[in-house]
Amino acid sequence: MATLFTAPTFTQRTWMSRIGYTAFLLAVGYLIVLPLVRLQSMAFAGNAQGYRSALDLTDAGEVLWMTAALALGSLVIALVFGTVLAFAASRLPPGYGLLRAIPVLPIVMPAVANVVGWAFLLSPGPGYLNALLRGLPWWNHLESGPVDIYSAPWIVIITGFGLTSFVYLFVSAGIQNISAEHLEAAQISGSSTLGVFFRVVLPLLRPALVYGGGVALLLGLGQFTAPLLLGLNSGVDVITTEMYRRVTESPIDYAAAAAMGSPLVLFGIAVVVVQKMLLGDQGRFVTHGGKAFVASRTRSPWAAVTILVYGFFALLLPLIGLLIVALSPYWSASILWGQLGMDNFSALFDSSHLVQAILTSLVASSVAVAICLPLGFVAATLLVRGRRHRVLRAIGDLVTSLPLGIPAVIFGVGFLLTYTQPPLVLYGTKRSSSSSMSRLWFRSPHGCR
Amino acid sequence: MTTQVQVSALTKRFGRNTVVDDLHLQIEQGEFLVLLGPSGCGKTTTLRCLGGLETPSSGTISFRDRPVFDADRKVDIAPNHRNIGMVFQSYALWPHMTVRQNIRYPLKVRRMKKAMAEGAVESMADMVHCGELLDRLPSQLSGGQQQRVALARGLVHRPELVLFDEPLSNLDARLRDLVRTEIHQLHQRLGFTAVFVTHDQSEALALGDRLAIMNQGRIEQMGTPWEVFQAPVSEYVAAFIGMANRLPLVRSHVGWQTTTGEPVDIGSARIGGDQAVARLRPDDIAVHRDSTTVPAGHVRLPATLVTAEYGGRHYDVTVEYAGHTLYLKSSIGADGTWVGDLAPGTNVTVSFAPSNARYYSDGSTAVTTSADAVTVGVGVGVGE
Ligand SMILES: Nc1ncnc2c1ncn2[C@@H]1O[C@H](COP(=O)(O)OP(=O)(O)OP(=O)(O)O)[C@@H](O)[C@H]1O
Ligand SMILES: [Mg+2]
Repeated sequence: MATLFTAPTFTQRTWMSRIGYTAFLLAVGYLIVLPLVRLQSMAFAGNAQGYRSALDLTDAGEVLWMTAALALGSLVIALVFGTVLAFAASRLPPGYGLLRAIPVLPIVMPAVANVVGWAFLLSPGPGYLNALLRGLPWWNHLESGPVDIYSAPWIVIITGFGLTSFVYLFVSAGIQNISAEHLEAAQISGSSTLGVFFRVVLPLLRPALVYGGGVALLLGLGQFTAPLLLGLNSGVDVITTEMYRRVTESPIDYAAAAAMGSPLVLFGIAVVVVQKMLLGDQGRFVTHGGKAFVASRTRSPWAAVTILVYGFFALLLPLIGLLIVALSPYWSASILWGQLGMDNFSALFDSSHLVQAILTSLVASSVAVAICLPLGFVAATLLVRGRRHRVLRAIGDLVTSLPLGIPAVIFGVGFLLTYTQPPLVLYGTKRSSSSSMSRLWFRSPHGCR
Repeated sequence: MTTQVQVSALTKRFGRNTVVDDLHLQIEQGEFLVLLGPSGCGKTTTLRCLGGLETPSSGTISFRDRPVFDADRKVDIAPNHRNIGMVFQSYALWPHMTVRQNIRYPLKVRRMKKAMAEGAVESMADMVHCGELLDRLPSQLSGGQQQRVALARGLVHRPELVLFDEPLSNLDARLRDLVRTEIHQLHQRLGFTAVFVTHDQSEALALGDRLAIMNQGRIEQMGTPWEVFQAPVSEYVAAFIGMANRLPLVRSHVGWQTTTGEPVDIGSARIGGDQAVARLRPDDIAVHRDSTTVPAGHVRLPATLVTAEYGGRHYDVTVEYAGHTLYLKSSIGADGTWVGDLAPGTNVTVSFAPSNARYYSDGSTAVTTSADAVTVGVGVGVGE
């Protein structure tokens, strides 16, 4: 750096950081845009053969509809639960602060584990919870059910539960920015607690809701785990599972998969743009001064109960389901208490395959984090502090928002296509998983808003 | 006059910390009561208990004859059912609503359709000189305008009681005086009942029909500004109401005298023990070039000059006397600006009329005053 020799002048420094940021954005933009470009060129190749075969699909309309329904349905659930939980978390009685972490935990829990846990509990035949429910007098005539986890509504509910955490994170941050006095002023003016919530809290949370809702919507559109694991039996098909099928079942058709992803990409970009428009003048949502949100009067034990109930359903239940199955010799509606044991685990650990798999995951994740953190930091600095570089900042904002708008599957396929070919051959090495993991960092700048 | 608010034995504890301690208060209809006290003495907590934003630990509060809080009978009316208005230090305007929507809010949620139809919002806005700003957002207003809007919002529904929590302390000095005058005018015009919290004595004197001086959760003195200003009942109140100078006295066989042996006639004040303290306002001490110009009957003290700061019509003078620092205000009269020309360390003489001082037994415990001590102090600040 020039600082070693002479202290650079203000404009020199500005220019240097401008050049640095430009180089950074070019590199990141290249990495992000290239896979998308390759996907499109593939979809359009041979007189848009990819789009033709995608549209030829008999139930293309149904897949689109199902994708939208899944995304919107789970968005509604996530918005309601996420907001209620965030509100509850802000009103916890003293000493219950730890409960604030519970709604975030589902993010940490792998989606696969969660979904499989629910399947064990609520599959219509042997699901433990279903078996329990059939014990109730008004359901005791049923042979199976009453809940069919493999049906579309339940896939929406499970997905919504998973997305709740993201909304919760954004809304919690939003609530912390509302000062207690704004709420007290409303109450003194004559509003009940509900009135305060609807007239003051919700409107002030608009940025957080638009942002968190946008993220949840995009994640819902790209949702993959639940539809794939639960929807296969009942024919619940969304774009991502369809894409997955095209690239895993023969005949493998990358072009069709690429074409199928296009609506998601377009929609993702649209969501990012709409978010920006909806937020507009930020001054309307900034409350300043005064004490933080919580006043002693508004604390309530109900807040703790709400969060605990959510934690029970979203975390504990699926974990219990998983655990019982893991300890049982086989899965059946009645738990064989006598036969529970560690046999499954010892069998697993006996196969060196598992150990290898765990190791690979660990290494891949560490490398991903090592790549993500510095990239995320530079991007966040540019977004937060780069007020001097208005144009660069806007571009950086868009580039880093982009991956959020585009489902993981598309990036996965795109990365696969791009980086198995020169100049950047990553496939077949552990680096490939790191590079798709590096999508993670694209979320970090959003975390810091 | 009817009693608007009656508070008895109000106590509020946070954990083991008693913040409001057995407080008794009676506020008449249309009265403007000022709670005055240093930071942390429990003013805000008292106010919040009145508003229902804080649940007291014990005691009762009633508005007119309606109990709104009674710990024993488990009465605790929520803030939204108490018919109060409140003006916060941070204004607390809702940033997503226009000025009009902010002011209209109390009428709207209380379904006061008639008031809205009769233009209560507009006339209230005009009264606080914000009639032009109705369609702006709070972020487009200056601090003074925001506080005026907050004022309008707190008064528009004609509440039984208006609570002010240091509403002027975020404003700069000149604006503070202006808004203070406006609050005073509004009160004269609308006649609302108010409790106004501040730690600024000039605000308290200007606005209050009565002052309550608080000390560690208790009311130390309650009275009209005149009573409190002229006859502070304890050294604590005296210090708080502007008697910044503290002069220890000792009892000798001939009477009370300063530590350097100047006799002080404490009048009819009765003090037990041999230690006393005189409390004096800066404008009640005069500085002299030499002791010959000290009027007869005044206590004269040899002192050395520390600083003299020019203040327009007066000098703010700091002197040292027998190890005590004294602050005084020396008006620039016929004899000119001589104090300003003195070098620090110069010997001067300061004096005060013993009747202008207030006397307390040291440790500021029990204090006895007589009525004539109050009337003697009439000439305060007029001159020497
Ligand atoms: N929610 C609370 N929990 C615990 N202690 C509190 C709480 N609110 C206030 N206190 C304590 O009560 C005491 C009185 O606080 P209060 O806010 O009433 O003071 P104040 O007279 O308004 O002071 P200031 O002039 O600084 O506003 C303080 O010591 C404060 O630390
Ligand atoms: Mg206070």
